Amino acid sequence: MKNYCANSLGIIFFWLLSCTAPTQEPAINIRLAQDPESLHPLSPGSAPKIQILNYLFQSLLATELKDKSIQPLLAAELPLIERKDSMSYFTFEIRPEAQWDNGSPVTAHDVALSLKLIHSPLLDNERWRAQFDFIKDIKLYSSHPKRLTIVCSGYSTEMKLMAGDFFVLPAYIFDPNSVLSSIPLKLVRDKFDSLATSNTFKSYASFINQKAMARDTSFVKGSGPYRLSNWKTGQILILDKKSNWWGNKVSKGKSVFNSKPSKIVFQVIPDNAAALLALKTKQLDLMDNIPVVPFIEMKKDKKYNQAFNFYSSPSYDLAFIGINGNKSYLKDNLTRQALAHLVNIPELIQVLQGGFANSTVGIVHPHEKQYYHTNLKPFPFDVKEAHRLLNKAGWKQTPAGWKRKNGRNDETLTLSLLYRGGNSESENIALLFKQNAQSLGIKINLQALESSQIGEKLNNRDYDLFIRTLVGNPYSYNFIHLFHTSNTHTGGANVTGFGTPATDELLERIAKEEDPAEKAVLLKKLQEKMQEESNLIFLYFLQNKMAISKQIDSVVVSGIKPGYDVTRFVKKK
Amino acid sequence: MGKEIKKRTFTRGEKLSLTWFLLFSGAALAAQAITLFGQEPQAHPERAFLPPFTSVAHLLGTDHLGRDLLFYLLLSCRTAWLLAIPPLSLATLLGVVAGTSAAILGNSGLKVSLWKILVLLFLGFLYFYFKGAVNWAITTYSLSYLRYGYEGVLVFLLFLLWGMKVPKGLKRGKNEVAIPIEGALLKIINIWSTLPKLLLLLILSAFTPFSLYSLMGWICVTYWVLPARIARASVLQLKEETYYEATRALGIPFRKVFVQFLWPSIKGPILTNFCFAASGLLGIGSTLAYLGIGIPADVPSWGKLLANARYSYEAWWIFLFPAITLLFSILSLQTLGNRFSARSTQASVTK
Repeated sequence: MKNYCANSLGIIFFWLLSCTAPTQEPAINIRLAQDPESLHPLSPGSAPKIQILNYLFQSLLATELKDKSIQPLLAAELPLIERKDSMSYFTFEIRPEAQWDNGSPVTAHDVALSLKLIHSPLLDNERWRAQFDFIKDIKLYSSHPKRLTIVCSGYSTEMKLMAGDFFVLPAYIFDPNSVLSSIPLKLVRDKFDSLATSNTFKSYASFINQKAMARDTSFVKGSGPYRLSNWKTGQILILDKKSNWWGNKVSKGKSVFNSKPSKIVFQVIPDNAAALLALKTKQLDLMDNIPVVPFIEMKKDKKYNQAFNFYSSPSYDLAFIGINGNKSYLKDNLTRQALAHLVNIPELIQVLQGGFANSTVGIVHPHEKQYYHTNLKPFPFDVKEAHRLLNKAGWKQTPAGWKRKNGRNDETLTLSLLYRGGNSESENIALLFKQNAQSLGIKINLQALESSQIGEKLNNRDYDLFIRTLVGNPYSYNFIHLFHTSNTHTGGANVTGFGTPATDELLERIAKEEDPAEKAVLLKKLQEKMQEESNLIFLYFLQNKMAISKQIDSVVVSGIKPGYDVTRFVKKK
Repeated sequence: MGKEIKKRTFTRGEKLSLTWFLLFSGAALAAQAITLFGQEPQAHPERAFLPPFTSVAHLLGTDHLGRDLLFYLLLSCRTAWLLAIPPLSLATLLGVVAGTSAAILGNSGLKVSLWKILVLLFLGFLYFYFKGAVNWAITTYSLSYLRYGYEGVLVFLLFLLWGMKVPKGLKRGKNEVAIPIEGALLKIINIWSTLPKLLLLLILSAFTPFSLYSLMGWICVTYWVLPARIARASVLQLKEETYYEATRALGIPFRKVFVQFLWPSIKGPILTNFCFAASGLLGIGSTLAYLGIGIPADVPSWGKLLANARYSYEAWWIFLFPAITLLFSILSLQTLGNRFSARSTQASVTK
């Protein structure tokens, strides 16, 4: 009887399996290392967030990942640029076909609203506000609802992209009651403080800041080719291609309008080992940032070579150790330079990255030959030099550690180093740095924390050292928000307290400079100054180690985030 | 009563387990001495992933940072031992005290005068009310000694008020409050035991910076429940025995009653629980290290080696040796636990 039951159940099970309907078109499965947490287009966010928002929302201009060129996206053509006195004017014409999901056209009013939101008070838009501070006004044309002119202060080559590189948001969702439509952008900027006290604006800000704006499928939708169809926090995020997307009509021959996969599934797998297992069992078609050891092992293995193509493309992700220059014991640059001499960068690149990283002297990628300071070399690993620098900074080595007089009290050079818990690369950097520092008698306490906890500590300047990765790009050399002393206040992005009046001036000039030759001179000066100050110990630019299924055709990998162009992918059945 | 308990000899498995446990404890002790001398596993990245038995200097090979695996395993014994034995001993002691007190005192055995409760409440209120102001003064004016002065004044007040004559209306005898020890303990046990221990430890360890000692503290907080439950149940059963009533009637001090009459009966289940809980803790300690939670990166642990082994199939030795050590340690404690369990079953009248 038992056998009979078991056999019957087995037959039913196989029948059920054989009844499963085949999927119409295979989805592209991509690993996300962290949940985007929020898909609010105004708040600052992680790389996965920006990556996903790029499939949902569009900007006036976009970059072609293949050749890093600037292409018009919502704009019909590249902008017409005019320069008068100290101002520059970028005139755009929005594509006539461009429309929102409700069928209404994308107009200059939507662009104006997006800029007003970036510059509005009471919203979580501080990062964008600093980045787009150069946009002073927008001119609309009543006779041409799709034409607009963006007014910028000064002119620099980065503005060719940046003047049109912000998400254009639908006014019918973000301002349904036309609260901002009657207020000009200039007024929003000029009356920033008084707007913050207005009751109407307060209630509008609470509408924009509501949680639904960051994750509800009815709010998180733009003019992009995909719509968010499902999001299970920490598990999966599914994007479906819009069936009647307006871009289909103009996509011919225009690579920025590619949207070949009908479904993109982002599987949130924070743990690298679990993600590798999913990749090896072919539950994933693409995994990036593969740890070095399995990457090398998989590359050698015939079985995985038959299933995957392996890539290691240079990226603009810069790993660095940040030093809190606000602390009294780390205030002088000699102490910070001494710490920089305790990092063995070639060893880190060889051992932790398997050689898949590019050593750098500063914030500029060595591949950007015009701007990279080739004559300046990173500080070598030199314990004796570190010892000399500490002595020069007034520290004395005692059996209880390095001590120095600070007013009446003695201060000891015992430091805590924050890094993201569960990130094996950061942990290994921390362990090797600790060992090197201990060889000189400096005690380092390692603290593994969650990413958000580190962010909080950095914002409150409650740390000594931290390990992080800075995500850059080759288009913008405007570092004001990161390194200007005006952003050293609590919550500002200049968390290491870097800066002097001279570096502030340099940063301002770099942001404004139009001539590439002069910009190169200024950037090289900045690299020198940053090494002299050593608030950041630059380790290396990472190479993105990727495995992509051989089922996928038309693969394009790039140094620009996210490192691949999924919109071109065609998955063979 | 009066029946002689047959002496049970050690089986081969039990002998092996005891030997392994003693070796494990010896290794932990040696590692503690090494740590006190400031020795740590040194990374030699140029020697990373050296296979075992290829070099005399690195008999079991090296890990991904070129650290000697044998030395790392030895130091990991200390971590595993420290996370299992001391916090569990303390937790067992706390549990036995709490469980026995609950069983003996019940819900009305402990009476405290209302005056004393009021004094404690008042001083507690004072402490928290002025704590913020005192901290502010300490940080603003760098008056680190102010804390001692503040706490000293409160302790002085406590002594003063505690020994003071009780005001009229709050006279002893009239205004005593019974503390429901048993009811309170049962409620705490019920809540505490609904949460899985690993989950509880994951949550609790998030409250403090990662450190071996804070994790030991959290383990102690988590593991007192079962000993308390066992002690309470056993003592409740023994309280009904005539010999216990006789000891009370004769006025024998409780300490003597506990040592001579209660402890021999409850030590079997308590020791059994200790062994099983310790074996579980070896697993939990390694799991936490594997997940990168609670244990700092520079504290060696078998779990960390296992976590690193996930990335490399070729470096099998990084997985194999810690896995064997962990498995044998868990098995040895389980076998010892089984022995204590069998002994107490043999000794029990209700077997």
